[in-house]
Amino acid sequence: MQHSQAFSRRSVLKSVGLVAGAAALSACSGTGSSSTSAAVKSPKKGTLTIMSAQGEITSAEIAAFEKAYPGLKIKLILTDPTRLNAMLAAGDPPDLVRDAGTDVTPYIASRGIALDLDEYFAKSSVLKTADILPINNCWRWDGKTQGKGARYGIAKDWSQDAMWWYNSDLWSAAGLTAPDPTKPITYDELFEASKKLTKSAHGKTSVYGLYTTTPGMDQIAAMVATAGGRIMSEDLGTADFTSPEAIRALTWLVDVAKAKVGYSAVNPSPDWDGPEYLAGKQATAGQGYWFNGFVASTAPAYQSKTVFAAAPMLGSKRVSPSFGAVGYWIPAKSKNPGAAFEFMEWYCGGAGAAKRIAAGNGLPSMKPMLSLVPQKTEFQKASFKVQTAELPYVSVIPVATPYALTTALNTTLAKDFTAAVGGGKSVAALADLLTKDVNAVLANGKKLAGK
Amino acid sequence: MRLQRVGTAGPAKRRRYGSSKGEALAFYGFLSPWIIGTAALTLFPVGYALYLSFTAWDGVSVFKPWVGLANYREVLTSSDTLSSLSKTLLLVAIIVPTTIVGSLVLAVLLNERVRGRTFFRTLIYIPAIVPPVASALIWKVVFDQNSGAANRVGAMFGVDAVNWLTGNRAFVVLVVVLLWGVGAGIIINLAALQTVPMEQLEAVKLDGGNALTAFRHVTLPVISPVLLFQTVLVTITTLQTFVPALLLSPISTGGGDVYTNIPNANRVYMVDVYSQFFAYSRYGYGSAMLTVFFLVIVVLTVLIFKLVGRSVFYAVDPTASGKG
Repeated sequence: MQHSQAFSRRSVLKSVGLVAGAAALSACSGTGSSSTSAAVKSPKKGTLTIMSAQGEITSAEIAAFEKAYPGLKIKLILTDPTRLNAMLAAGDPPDLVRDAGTDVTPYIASRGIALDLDEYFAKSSVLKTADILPINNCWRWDGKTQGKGARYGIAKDWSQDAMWWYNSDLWSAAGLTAPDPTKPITYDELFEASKKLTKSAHGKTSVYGLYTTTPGMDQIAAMVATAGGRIMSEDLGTADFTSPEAIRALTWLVDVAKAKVGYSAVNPSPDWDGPEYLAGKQATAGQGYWFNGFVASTAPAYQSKTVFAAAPMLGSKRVSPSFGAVGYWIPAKSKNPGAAFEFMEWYCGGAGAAKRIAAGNGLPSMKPMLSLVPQKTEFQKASFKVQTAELPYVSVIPVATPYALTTALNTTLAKDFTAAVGGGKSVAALADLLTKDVNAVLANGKKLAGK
Repeated sequence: MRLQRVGTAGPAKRRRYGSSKGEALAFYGFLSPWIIGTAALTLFPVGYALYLSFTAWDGVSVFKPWVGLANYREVLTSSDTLSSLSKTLLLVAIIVPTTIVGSLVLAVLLNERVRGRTFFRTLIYIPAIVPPVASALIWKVVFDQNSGAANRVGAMFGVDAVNWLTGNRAFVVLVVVLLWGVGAGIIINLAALQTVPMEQLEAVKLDGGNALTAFRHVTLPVISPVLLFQTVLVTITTLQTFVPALLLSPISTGGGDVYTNIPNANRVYMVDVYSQFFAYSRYGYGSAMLTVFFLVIVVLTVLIFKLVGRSVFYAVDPTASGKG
């Protein structure tokens, strides 16, 4: 009862209002011209081709959409960057593409690949701009700044992705005091706990204490942000991994990789955190709020021992970013943008979204849907409480750049990181190498952009 | 003149013309699917890739900025590219001789009249017909750190489990996967061994030679064209190693892209090309890498013919004209 009073729809709305400013991205100038809004095109009957992740849009959802929009048939194709590039190059792209708004917006907008959706949003009775939560500003780009300008997409749902979950049974079995889930622990504390949670013998590990860590732009930038630093320059044209904050983050990543307390770039996971956690092979899972719905639907028995926790901190600044705001964008050359936007409305703000949000599979993009976030079971109530306490610290750390896809930067980071950890390179030398190589990728993109 | 004009020459000429026109039509008719296919699916893509190699195209932009030879200069000086090329050449240096010698030795053994010969032939050939994807995935399971058979065998000897699929060990696994397909070479060699004339082998015996002498002076020369063919084929396929390297890498590391999970040791040339295209969106540079690689393959093939070709014995002189 207390839960429902303390974390009512109103309190969430209040939190969201508080974070409106924080969620707006910090000014980060880049390049590329701001496009003019595309005129709204009427939906045409026929087939709507959607490139999405396997199993995400279910056949039941497809059937529900096709029933609601007679005359439209959905053709799903699996997310495949290679195929997408080929389709874009051939001028025959899908009508909708699933992507992470935090990572791709400057790139797809500055290259003219994505449709400027301002006019569509302005006329929409479902995705009303006044109701769109600020996290969706990551889908905006004005030619210089992510967070401002035209909208190029919208999140289907979102989470604060540096947050984590732990198995309280394993935590107790290791003789550890379970941390207060609403108060962030430090990365060092997490590392120490992970050492005690990890169970290894004769080179084999039956339980990893720590969730999978990757030397990706998102993770490093999020850690650095909690220490008050940043990786990308203001103009998004260069990166610096040699700052004291970045060195601390890299040191932690190298140390946990060497200690083998969790899967890492040098000890890759056979799967993502979810299956490993639910199989009891990981004591923690590095996932955002959406994991709540995954646990409830996949392994209900795990609900009683799974606890959601605040994003850890490297320094003293509390920051809890979203790494994805995963949603959809419409390619500029879509053959049926009107119908594509109708799907966007249905799936991200309409009936399709409502069911997903009610199941606890992420936070909604639209304010009116916040009331649907589930609070029926004890597990849902506890997760909701932690999530509500975390909302004021939401942000999008600038890692996306118009000069390269995040994939390119992450590939460079992984290559250098594994070489450094395996080859015994010092963290300082690794930081120099990362700075040099990532900047080379960015410089190449700048050259292409005529900068 | 009259005979030529009215008699034999005229109609005969017409008949020949009519016949050759029909033949030409049939010729081009039968050939056209191949010509059109080659032009559309080989010549055009190759030409287009060659054009792209002089640009800095990112795969999606409208513009394809012309950069001249810059991509080629980078291919020849980039430490990453040269590293992937050297790994590929090391792979060739290991796989080619091992495959050729191994498949020959096994073929000779399976050519002997032993009990269960057919069974053993089938058994050894099976891996060659397993799809490469399945083969790579099987080996991935075998070399899994926690549940793989390799570490179980190690444990029997008191050796702690190791992660075979990361670091430099991943290269060892890649070599094993590539050698697993040796069965195809065995079948080719077995076929070649059937062409060795028995009377010559018996003649060696009559002259007091042993099996080794017969093998060296009769068998080897007779099957040498087949060995040359295999050397060229295995060299080219090993140079183009890609799918096993990709499949041996973990599918996902916290949702990362496949390019980020391939161990550095297995970043062979084609993996590097793939990354340049689809991770870095450098279509121009990737195309230049492919062009350079094409030249490397041509040079290596010519070298093999120059170095080994002289030792090859042809029963019929291949340079002789087919005309009487």
